[in-house]
Amino acid sequence: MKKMTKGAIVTGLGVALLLGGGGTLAVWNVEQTANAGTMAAGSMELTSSTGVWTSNLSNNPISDITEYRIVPGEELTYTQQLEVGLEGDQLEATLSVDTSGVTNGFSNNLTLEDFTVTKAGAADAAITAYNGSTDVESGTFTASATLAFDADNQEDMNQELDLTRLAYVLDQKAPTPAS
Amino acid sequence: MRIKTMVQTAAVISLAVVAGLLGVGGTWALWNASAPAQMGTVQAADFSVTVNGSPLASQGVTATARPETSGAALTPKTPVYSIIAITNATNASGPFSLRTVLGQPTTSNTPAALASNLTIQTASMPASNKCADASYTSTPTATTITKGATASLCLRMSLPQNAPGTLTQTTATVAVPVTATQIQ
Repeated sequence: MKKMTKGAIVTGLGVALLLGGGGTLAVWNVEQTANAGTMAAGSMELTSSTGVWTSNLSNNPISDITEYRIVPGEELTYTQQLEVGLEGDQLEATLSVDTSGVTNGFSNNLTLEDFTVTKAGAADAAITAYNGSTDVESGTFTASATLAFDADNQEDMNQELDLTRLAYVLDQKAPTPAS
Repeated sequence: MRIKTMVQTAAVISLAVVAGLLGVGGTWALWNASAPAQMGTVQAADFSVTVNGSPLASQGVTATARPETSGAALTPKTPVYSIIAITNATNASGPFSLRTVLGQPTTSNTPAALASNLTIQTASMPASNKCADASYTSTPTATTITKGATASLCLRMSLPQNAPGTLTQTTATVAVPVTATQIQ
């Protein structure tokens, strides 16, 4: 037993001397560049141009909606350009309308409706008023919405519908992992 | 008992993590972007109609119609005319026309003898701008008034040639309902 202990001590001492003396225990190894390339994240952008209000009672655009006064039986349409930029190989998005900031003083449910976005050469895509959304791709879209003042409305003179905070929203769709 | 305690602890930790994420605004959201529609504020027009300068409200208003000729007296030979001027004073931006109708005149605070002899008729103002030249009928008089325009209507009050002399110095209050309706 004593011999075994002594032997172990001597072996440990030898290893310590080897390490302390700069010796090495390394085995073979080689190095090769993985060349995995550079990763770049995509981007998603949505910009809007100044829109135009028109009335079904006139052929001319409304120059200043804040000075305009609508009447029962009149229908206004708002049209503007939207630029959708989707950069990403697997990037898909939907377009919707955020009406959370709208203030409506009309008692007769005067609301914007018939939201549609159209891309040149493609069919109209409808965004169901206030709750719906539609898939979009990169490009220039013409967005429009209508505001119909019911001809039977006997009330709501001088009332206001504040749409200054209404916005279009672009949301990325959750990617689906390959099975 | 020990397992139950561990489960409870795990549940508490999980809830705490979720609550913590929500509390500090943590999110699992994907990308999103928004752009203002810049629609502005849309405002409805008013429905402003005046009768001889007094606003016509939805609940009705009393407007005074003065005789066409100041101080004119009603006699069996000389009817008295009044002018009812109706103005479409709306601030609507688009086309906004009104159809106004003078209804059947009525009398009040009037001696029965005078009321039974008094004939009240309405007519549109003739081109001569003199109510004496108008064509009076007993049917309601209607006219169309465009935005910002004023239409004048005539009211004729007359007595028959054989009206009794006891009507002298008696007075009558005549009311004519005016109804304005938007048309386009």
